[in-house]
Amino acid sequence: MIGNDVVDLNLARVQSNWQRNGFLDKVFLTSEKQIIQSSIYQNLLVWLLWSMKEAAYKAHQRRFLLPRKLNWQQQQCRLRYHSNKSAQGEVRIGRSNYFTKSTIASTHIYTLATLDRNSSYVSRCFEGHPEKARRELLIDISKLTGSSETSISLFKNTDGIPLLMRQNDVVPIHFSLSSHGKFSSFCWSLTKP
Amino acid sequence: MKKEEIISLLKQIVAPYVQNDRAFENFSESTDLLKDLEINSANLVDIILDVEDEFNIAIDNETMDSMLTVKDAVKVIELKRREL
Repeated sequence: MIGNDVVDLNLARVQSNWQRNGFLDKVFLTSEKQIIQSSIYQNLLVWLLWSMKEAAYKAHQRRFLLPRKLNWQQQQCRLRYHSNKSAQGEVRIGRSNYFTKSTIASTHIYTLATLDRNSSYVSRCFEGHPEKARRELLIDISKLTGSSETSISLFKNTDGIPLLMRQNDVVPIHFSLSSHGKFSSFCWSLTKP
Repeated sequence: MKKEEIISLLKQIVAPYVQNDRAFENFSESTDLLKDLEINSANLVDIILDVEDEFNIAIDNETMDSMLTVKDAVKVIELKRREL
């Protein structure tokens, strides 16, 4: 199981005012607010923890075929390690635990969440249109399955969960796409859940 | 407050965050905030806070959980206003 999330920090600064009264309380647990408030890089930590929750919930949603929910308070983040370039942590959702790895740049934060700590995966985040991420994902999957590129397509189910289809069959490979502002990303897992 | 009034106020609240104008033109109870209006997920927090301010209600975590369509939001607003 895999999930990812990218935050374009420049766009986030324009779109969201997390300092707004009540914002942090809606999204973060007390322990998470403590992490944020005790740091000199508060803006970075807000979006790092946010992207950890989003990435982990995407993996969780796909795992249990759940609808999208606004349940940030049910996703508990723990940071094992972070620098101004990367971070590693975990997000607990219910009885599930997801391992996260994040890359941090002045322009964006990218988080990958996996169920298995030792997952093998392919993950790419770049400056580009989401269409490029979709195309590269389809190219990778067509190579992996030995199919022509045109035989693989993306389809969304009623919960908004995307699926890879080859003709009329679902390709059983876990993947995730995310884009925000200038950045797009995709990832797919080589490990069975 | 009539349902139509709530929907109208809700439409004004979400307006600044909408990233799909065509879907916004067809704003109705079945409109999905994320899928149809393409609102950035972080802005959903803003919408919930704006709704709390506008309708003078408090939306707890369990309730906010499923506030993804206009219909859901209207239900929450009506419920919370009855509790006032």
